[in-house]
Amino acid sequence: MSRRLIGRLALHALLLTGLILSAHPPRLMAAEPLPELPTPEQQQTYERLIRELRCLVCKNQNLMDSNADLAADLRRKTHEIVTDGKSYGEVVEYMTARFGNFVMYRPPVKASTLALWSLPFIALAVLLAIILHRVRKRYAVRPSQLDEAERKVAEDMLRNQGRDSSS
Amino acid sequence: MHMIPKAFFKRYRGGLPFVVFCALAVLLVISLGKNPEHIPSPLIGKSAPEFSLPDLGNHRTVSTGDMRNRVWLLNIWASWCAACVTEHPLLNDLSNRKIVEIVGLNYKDVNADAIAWLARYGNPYTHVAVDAGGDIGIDYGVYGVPETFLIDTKGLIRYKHIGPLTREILDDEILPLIELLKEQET
Repeated sequence: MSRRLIGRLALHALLLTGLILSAHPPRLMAAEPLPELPTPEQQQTYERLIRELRCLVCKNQNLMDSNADLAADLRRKTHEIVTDGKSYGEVVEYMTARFGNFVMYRPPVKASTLALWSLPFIALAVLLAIILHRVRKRYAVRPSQLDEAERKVAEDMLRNQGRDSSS
Repeated sequence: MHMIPKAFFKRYRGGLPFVVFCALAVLLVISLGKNPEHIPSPLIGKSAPEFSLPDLGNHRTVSTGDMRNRVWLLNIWASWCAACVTEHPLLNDLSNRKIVEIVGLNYKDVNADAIAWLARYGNPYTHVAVDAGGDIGIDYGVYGVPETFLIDTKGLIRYKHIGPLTREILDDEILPLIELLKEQET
């Protein structure tokens, strides 16, 4: 197999892997009817939280989607804390203090997660650089390659042309 | 872009995706060997969340305050938990050898079921705190019963294990740590 073919196959395999790995966003389907909260702001905070908090015992479900026992308990707890007048940030703090960052679908930006957050941007930059390089190369004006015989013909023609104009 | 010599691209144009693919494959193979259930606990090194709960089978209460100045294990279990049965002989053994005090946290269970379960499989616990609602479970970040916490004399959590204990985990990690903590005390 030629190197070019291996490269092409590898590229396709890479693209396919990327497709498979791209996670599906959590579905917006409640496992149980949403409870009523005292104010519209609290209602909003509560709904945002149960969308963004992960059900720890499920595979890729948030608290809203899941009907697992633990998810129901954590929904109840979230409801309780928000009704108490606590903010979005305070609930996030409460949950991550107990279950770790994994409980959040969106990991916080900090030293240990820097690689995670910067990787897409680095990948994008590298990709753009490669594309730019290829485009430049494709449209670059290349001097034509002449062999010895062709070069002689061309030189003769140039010489003759010079004689014509001078005479 | 200009940092990379042009010759690199010329030579490895077909090879670059191949290299990236290999790197990704290696990363995935490594990740495959990791246990996705194993999530590091943010509670290690922090104070054990306090509780004061009814003691199973009597009319007293059991609290974290009762265990102050002792090295102890907190074992979260329930009669509905199948994996608890598999680790239970190990806890019975620990208790018989009087190595460490074990407090049980009976998580989201029915008292009668819990008492019957202990009568059947043995009771290694000095106390069994009843957490029927699961609120204390949430404070301890419990999501996979059974879970076991090792708590030192200052009330700090020193070790946490999610899922059933095994002989290896006890002998290689928990028992040496208990020895160390007891030595530091004397």
